[in-house]
Amino acid sequence: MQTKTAKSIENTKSTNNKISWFKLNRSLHRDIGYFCIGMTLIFSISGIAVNHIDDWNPNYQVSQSTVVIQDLKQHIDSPQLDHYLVKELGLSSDIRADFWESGTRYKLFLENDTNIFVDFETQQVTVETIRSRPILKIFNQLHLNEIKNGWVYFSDLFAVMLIFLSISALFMIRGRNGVLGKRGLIVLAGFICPFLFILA
Amino acid sequence: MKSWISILLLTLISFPATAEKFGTGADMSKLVAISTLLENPEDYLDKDVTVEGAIISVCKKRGCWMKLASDKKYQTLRIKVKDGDMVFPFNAKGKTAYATGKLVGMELSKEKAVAYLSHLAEEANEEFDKGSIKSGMTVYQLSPTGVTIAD
Repeated sequence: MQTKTAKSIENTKSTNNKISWFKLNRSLHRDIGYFCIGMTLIFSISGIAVNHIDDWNPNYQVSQSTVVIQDLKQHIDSPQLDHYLVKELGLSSDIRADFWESGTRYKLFLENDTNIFVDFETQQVTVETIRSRPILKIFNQLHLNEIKNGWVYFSDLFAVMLIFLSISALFMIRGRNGVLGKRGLIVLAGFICPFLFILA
Repeated sequence: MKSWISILLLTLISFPATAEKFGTGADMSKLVAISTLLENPEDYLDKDVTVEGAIISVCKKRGCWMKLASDKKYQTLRIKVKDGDMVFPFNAKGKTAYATGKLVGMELSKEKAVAYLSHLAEEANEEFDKGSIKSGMTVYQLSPTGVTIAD
């Protein structure tokens, strides 16, 4: 009787010492998933922003307005041209630089990231203002790997963690309620979708 | 908690302000005027030179090129990097840039020159007269290893 009890205790111990791969997978999936939330948000938000780079500037808010100044041609040779333009346009910033693109096209750059483009032939003046999108710009810098150095390796690690998350997701639920059942079709759809775009 | 969030936001926002040096930064000991460089470009091919000029336009998509004003009227020089190697800030227009690198010449036929220069003008939102190109030409640009943008 005594021997039997000792054996049974030993068996229970060995069962307890066995690693539950199912539980470990779920725990790792959960914790790595938590860790990846920040990175995933940064990459996905920036991804949407950069995807539409042909339609907008994801790093800067650029606005342009054009006005016609009737007596502009009279001032083409004036040494006070810069101050005249700034005053006419109701601007107040200091001048950063100027440049004659041709005999009739002139560019004036102001300190507050406002630029003035002048066409003396049409007397049209375009005022461009540039404002940074601070948070989105940082997200894009990270996404496009502009930071370089250690970031390259850290984003490699992030990619490895995403691979783990996708594979470990397959083993989250046992049996026919998991990918071995109907849910396997969802996995299949995820593989098929990208190929449909290539074939289209 | 609030102060921590403020510190984090300030750090994030102020981070790019220090990024005024690109690559190795410019080597000021190799300064050559853009007009001198473009007067006899063949003399400077394959030599490291540093040019200086006000930034008059910047690539709006990837910041992969910028155009510097020469010391000579109407003249400019394009500074071009491979996408992502350096990213020139779009709001650096009007600031003075110093770029160290090699002058690169591209031999173009008349048709290719028209197509290339039209594309550049479109990118820079500038006007371009296709009729001004009468024959094939060599287009020069600087391929930099280091750039410094003075504030």
